[in-house]
Amino acid sequence: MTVVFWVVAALAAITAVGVVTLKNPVHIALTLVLNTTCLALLYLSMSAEFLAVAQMLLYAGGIMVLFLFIITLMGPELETGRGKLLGDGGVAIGLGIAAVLIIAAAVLRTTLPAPALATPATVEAVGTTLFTAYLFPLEVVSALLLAATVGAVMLSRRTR
Amino acid sequence: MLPTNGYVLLSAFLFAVGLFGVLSRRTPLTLFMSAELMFNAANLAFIAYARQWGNLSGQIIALFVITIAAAEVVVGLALIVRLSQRTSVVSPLAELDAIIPPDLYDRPAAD
Repeated sequence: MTVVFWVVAALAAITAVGVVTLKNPVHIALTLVLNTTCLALLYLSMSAEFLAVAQMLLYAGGIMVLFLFIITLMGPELETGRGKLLGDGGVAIGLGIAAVLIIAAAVLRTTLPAPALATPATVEAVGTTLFTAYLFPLEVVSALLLAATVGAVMLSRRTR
Repeated sequence: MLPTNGYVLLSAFLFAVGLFGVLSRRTPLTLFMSAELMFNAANLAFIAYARQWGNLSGQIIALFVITIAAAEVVVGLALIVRLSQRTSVVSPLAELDAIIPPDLYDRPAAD
């Protein structure tokens, strides 16, 4: 189990670095699919089965297919080195390392409680929580999805 | 049971890599994909802490994060397609290159 965790975690880290360093958008999208698959395996190792399946269906099956569709529609633009948001990348690397150090320090200084043996995260338990305690946020999210759908249709409609 | 700290430290690394991607990329598509990395990192931390505390709320929040990421991608990609329709050339970024003077980023700051 531990070996599996380290292998999958290393693969997730490598593919994440690939996402930000590769040049071809098609390669980036396929690497991101691999990364989301690794994360779904990590969710499975934490016995969060519902989230693992949702991750595969929504990310790998939905969002990434949308990305690939747009890439094929617009043509795979190769990235040029000039005109990045923050100079030549040195500032970006510095900020990334700073983020890792800050979060790692915060995590390692925190003493966690003993692992609770409360409700196992079965699909039934997740569904019950979702439709009882989180019913109102669920409805708000459904309204948000409707707004996003209408907005996307309005934006992509060709006028005149 | 694997330690929660391992998952959270991996999540911190993924978040930092995504942050680097957002700051160092310029194509809108790759910017979005780096942002997806950051969403995934947050989800991993949510689920790890949900298991540690024996509380399902973290998993529910992670589900909402996935949903909102999907909505964000749909609207963002529609904007990108709209932008490419408005400009005369196939790539809006190439047109941006034609507008921006080539030495813009090499000039010293005017003050």
